[in-house]
Parts: sequence; structure tokens; C-alpha cells
Amino acid sequence: MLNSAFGLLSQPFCSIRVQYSGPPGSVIGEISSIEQKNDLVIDSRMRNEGDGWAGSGANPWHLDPDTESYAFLANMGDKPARIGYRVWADGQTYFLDSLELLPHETRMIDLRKLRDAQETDFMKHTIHAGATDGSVLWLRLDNVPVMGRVAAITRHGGVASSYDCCMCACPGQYEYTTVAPGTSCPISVGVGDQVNSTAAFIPACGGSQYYYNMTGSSSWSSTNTSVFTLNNTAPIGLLKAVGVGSALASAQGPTECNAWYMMGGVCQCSSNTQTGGSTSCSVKPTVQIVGGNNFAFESTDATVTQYNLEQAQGNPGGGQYSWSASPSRVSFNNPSASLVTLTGTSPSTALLDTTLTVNYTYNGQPATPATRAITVRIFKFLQQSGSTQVILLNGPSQYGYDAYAYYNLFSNPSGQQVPSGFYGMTTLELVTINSVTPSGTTVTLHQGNGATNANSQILDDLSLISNATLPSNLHINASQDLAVGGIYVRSNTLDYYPSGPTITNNGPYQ
Amino acid sequence: MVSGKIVPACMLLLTCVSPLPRVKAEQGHAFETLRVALRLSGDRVPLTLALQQLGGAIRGGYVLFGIEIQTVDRKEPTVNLGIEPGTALGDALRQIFNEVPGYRVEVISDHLVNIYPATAKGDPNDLLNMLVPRFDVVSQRAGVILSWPERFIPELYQRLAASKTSGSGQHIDLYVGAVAIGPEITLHLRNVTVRQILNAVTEASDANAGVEAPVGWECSYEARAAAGRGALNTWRLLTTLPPDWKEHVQKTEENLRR
Repeated sequence: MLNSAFGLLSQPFCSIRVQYSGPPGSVIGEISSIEQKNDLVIDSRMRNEGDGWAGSGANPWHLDPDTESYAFLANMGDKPARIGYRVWADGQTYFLDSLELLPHETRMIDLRKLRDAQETDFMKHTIHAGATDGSVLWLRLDNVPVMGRVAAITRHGGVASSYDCCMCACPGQYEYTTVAPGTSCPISVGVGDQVNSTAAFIPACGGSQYYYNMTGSSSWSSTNTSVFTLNNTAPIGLLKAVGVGSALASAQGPTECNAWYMMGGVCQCSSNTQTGGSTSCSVKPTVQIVGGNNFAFESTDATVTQYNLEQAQGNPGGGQYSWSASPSRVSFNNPSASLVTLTGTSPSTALLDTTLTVNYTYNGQPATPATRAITVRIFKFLQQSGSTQVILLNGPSQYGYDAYAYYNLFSNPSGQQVPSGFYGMTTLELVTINSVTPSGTTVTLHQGNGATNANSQILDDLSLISNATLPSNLHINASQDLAVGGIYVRSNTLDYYPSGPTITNNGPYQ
Repeated sequence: MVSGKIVPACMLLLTCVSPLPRVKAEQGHAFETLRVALRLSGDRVPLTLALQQLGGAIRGGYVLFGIEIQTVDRKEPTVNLGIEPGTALGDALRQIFNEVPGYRVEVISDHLVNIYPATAKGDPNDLLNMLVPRFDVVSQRAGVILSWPERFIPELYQRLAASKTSGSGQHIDLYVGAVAIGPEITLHLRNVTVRQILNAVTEASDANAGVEAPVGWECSYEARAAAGRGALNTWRLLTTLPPDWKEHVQKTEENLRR
């Protein structure tokens, strides 16, 4: 009993190595695995480590709610053993390209977990999620004895199938190396990408290829390090794009046997070759929109358009920019500059309905264009904020009052308030005095051209000053129109009384 | 609000006067260090609008203008703009004023530049040369002062009122406009010209900028008006700041609270 004999209670699986002192061929071994709570028994043959052909397998697997399939691989040698491994199901082949067994290591591969993980292999393939049947093929790639089997276990039925069919005696022999980027070329300046080197092996006795990842065991070089460099320390094979252009990424791997033959029951290599490969990769420039807002105001007033800025940054610098908008609700002061001023020509009908695109070309190589969705806003109405502030002046040289009204500025579409920070946008007023009481009073109107303050508000001065006490029946009626950046935004009726002005809003209201 | 102080006029203005087309630049002054970031183009652009566009296109700092300008039929001189990104501020001004000969540019301080007709400073009828014995304002918005200086300078008010037609009844002045921008400032000046007052207000707004932005000034008048042309003078605050001006104002905690 292995459990009690070797203290293996905690081990779900293991390999058994038996030595005997009798003459060769005098012992036949068999091992049976018996599940204690059920009547499940799995019988397995024992192999002679000296059998050179112990090194490959091709076995079926099956998965259903009652059935599990496990592949076991055991390195019977004293050196690490690389394994080429492929799983076939539903017409699709899935590769494990980095399977290596340490000396005397036994590895179990749960095929259900392998299927359900849905991780892609180096060819971007997965085992079909619904696959229930297939086959496992494995091939040792080093001349180290490896033993393997697949066990399909149906627990409730008490049935187990154990397969250890072999297919080829000698290790796989090297054919070629493929070097490929992790994502794809061309790659953008400043970006990194893991490049992989994969060697293809075929069974010496013929058959389909197996693959093994040689990235970590290769020496990497770039034919032009001003275009990209390649890491030879962890992470090995990492490509770093540094400049626009094209270069070759080369990986030189270890020497591998490319021709095995059997002699005296032992696999021998008749030819070794240097492994390696290369791939061309071009590096293209990049461009990003790095400054500006996701809106622009419709106005031709320079104090407004100064805020309609968008800035792109190409890498490397010194290339050519080209801006465009779709639909063409804005024009550009200089569409070939990195920093551009937009002039809104027609307002948006919905938020973010206009796409800005900037193309960038460096040394004839185009970058992937950068885009930004914006809204072309148009100033629409003013809304008074708080009540009118009045400071009375009671002489001796000035009588009347300083009066101020605060307005918030709103824009369409959606009636959005213009946020803080849009200082200095020209605000013009047209004031007409309609009537003055008492008669004989003369009024001089001083109209000031103002601007939005730092909170993007309009702080409207409505002061009335005289050099004498105001008559108690004073009433001045006036009409006032206001415009911001040349866009009409409000009409008021102003009524000036001795105690202060009143403001009646005549729209627009939205 | 800043505490007021009495400042002699001679200390207010440390100037270097340069006739155009050559714009003298002091070593390290904004004229040399500031660059235009945007292409400025346009035909027959009114002069003050051109200066506003220029100020708005600068990056790395800002410039304020105090400009005295002669109009003809209420129209400013116009210029053709063709300024490329990267142009130094001094070169850009030279390009602009090459098209309007007869003006001078004077660097008043790090941020303030005066522009005026070459003959203006020697003209006794120029209201900006009028001497004011005392000027006192407490916690007033710079924009209001620069828009209607006569409200705060009685001598100027009298000079302007003298040219107005007056009826038999009480006279009332209505001041209307969105001019109440810029920081609140406090100033007490003695024996200064109107021009010096306007410059002092702009510099005080610059020194106290934080939440509120500093403001420049403009005074225009008809070129063909008779001597004592006060009635035709128009005052206006002038905003010429780039969108990133806040990054370049004097960063004191007091300013940032304003």
C-alpha cells in the first residue's frame, strides 16, 4: 500500500520507480490504483526506463458531467525534459509551448481545467469551450526518457480508461524558428511589445509539428537600435520602439538536433543546427490630442475663440499635422499646426455630435489618427444670479448709487451653464433711454464695453450718479440688450428709481 | 483688497521709450521671452482687436496694454495680421506697428506696455496729460475705474462735463456695462497725470490678480477733433490675457484668495 508505505496521503498523484536486483526481463510489474470509497480501479503497466521509445503519446480524452480526463507526464531522467504538447478537439489544435519537466517530476494536466480556462495559445487558439472529446498528443523534445498516459475516469459508473499509447521513439527534431510580435507590427513610438521566438519540431518518425517557446533561451538583437531595441534581460525579448523606421528583430537560439535515428534501442542525433529566426517590424509615429476642451463656442470674436483651442502632440516631433471635423461645424485657423484655434460655424444639435480628427505624418509614415468628440456651443441666454446689489451714495460730491447685477451665461444645446474660467469674453450692451421723469432732467448715458469675469459671469454695472440729491419722483425707463462674443443673449427693461434699479427680463429664457 | 499707499509718480513709471518701428527690448524682458503660440491672420483688423488677439495667443506669460488711440470717424486704424507661431512678442508688435506709423511703444513694467501717438505726450490738450493733485480709490474694481475714470477723478469729470450740452434741470449720469471685472484695488496717488493713474490702476490690478484677472486700458479720441476734445474721448478696459494667464500671475496666497 503506497499511502502507508511512502506517506503519500497528501499526494493526489505520483510516479513509482521500482528497482530490482534480478536479471533483466525476470520481473513484470503492474500497479493498480484503487479508490477506497468506490469500486474504481485503474491498472497501469510499468515501463522499463531503458526503453528508448518511452517519449511520446497519442491518447483520447473525454469530458462529461461524470467523466474527467487527466494527462500524466513523468520525467524519468536526470535532466530537464521539454515536451511538445497538443490537444485536438472539434477540428482545432491547441498547443502548450512551454511545458518542461524537471528531473523525475510528474506533472498532471487536468483537461477540463485546460479547456475551461480558455487561454489562447501562441497561435491565438483555444480548446472549444463545448468540446467533450478529443485527443492529446505529446512528444519529448529532449533525449530524456519521459512516460505519459491519459486517464479518463467516470466516477459514478466506476469505469476508468487509461491510455499510454506511444507513437514515436525518438525526440522531436528541430525544423525552424518563427519570430513574431506579441501584438502586431507596425508598432507606435514609445510602445513596448513582447516578441516571441517559437521553434517547430516534428517527430522523427513523421507527423505533425510541435512547438516550443524559445524566447527565454534566445539571444536578441535589433538591426537598428534607433528604431527599436530588444531586451536580453527580463523580460527577455521585449521590444521597445524608440524611433520611426523599420528594422529586423533577430533571435538566436541554442543548438538543436534536426535528425534523430535509433541505434541499439537508443536515440542518436546525426545532425545539429543553430536555431534562430527574425522578423521585420516597423515603428510608426503617434499622435494624441493633449490639450483643449470637448467643446468650442460658436463665435468669431477673438476673445471667445481664444478658448476654442485644441492641441495635438506627435511623437517624434517635427512631423506634419492635419486637422478636420465631421460634420464640419468648425473651421481651423491653421489646420496644419499642432495647436489650433477653432471657430464654430454652426452649433451642435446634440452633445458631442462633432468629431475632431488629427492626422500626423512623420517622414512619410502616418500615425493612427487621434480623435475627440466635441460640442459646438452657442451662447443662448443669461440668468441673473442673486439680487441686484445697490450701494447708495449720499454726497457730498456724488448722489445716487452704484448698482451691480450678476448674470450666469448659458449655452445650447442642452442649456449648459458656461463653467468658470472663460474670462474676458467681450460683452456688449445696447441701452436706449425711453423716458425720464421729472421732465427737465438731463441724462447722460455712459455705456461701457465689458467682458466676462473669471467666473465666466457678467457683472453688469447699473450705476446712477448725480451731483445733487435725487428727486423723489425720479424714474428713468430704458431698454437694454446684451450680447456676449457677438451673440445676443438677453433683453431687459431697466427702471431706475431713487432707491435703485429694477430689472425685467424680456428673454430669451432658454 | 490691498492696503493703500501714496506713491510718487516718478516711482510709478520706470520706462524705456522706443520709437517704432524698432521696439527696444530689455534683456530678459517679456518682449524677448514671450512667444506667440498661434498663427494670427486677418486683413484690416482693428488695432485694439489685433492687440487682443496677440495677447490671447501668447504662451508662457502675458502682456497688458495701455493704449491711447486716434480714431477717424470713430474707426480705429486697421492692420493686416500675418504672425506665425514662435514669433517673439517684440517682433510681433513691430510687425503690427509697421502698418500704423506714428505710434510709439513704451515698456512700463514687466507686464505693461503703453502705446500712444508719437505726439501725444507733448500735447497739452491731451486729457491723459492732465495733472491730478490727488487720486484716492478704496476697494474699487479696476475695470470700473478704467472704463469710467471720470467717476473717480473729479478734475476729469469737470473737464468732460464742460463740453456737454446741459439742460435746465438736474443732470444725471447713467453708467451701464459689464465692466466690473478685475481685482478690487486701493490706491492713493498725488500729483500724477491721468495716464499715470490708468497705468497705476492696471499695475495694481496685476499685483492683486488671483481669482480676478488684471486689466489694461484704452483711451480713444477723434483725430480731427478740436483742441479740448474731451467730449469725444472714449475709455475702455482692455482684456488681452491668454487662457492660461492664471498660471503666470504672481502666486501669493493673498492673491489666490482674491
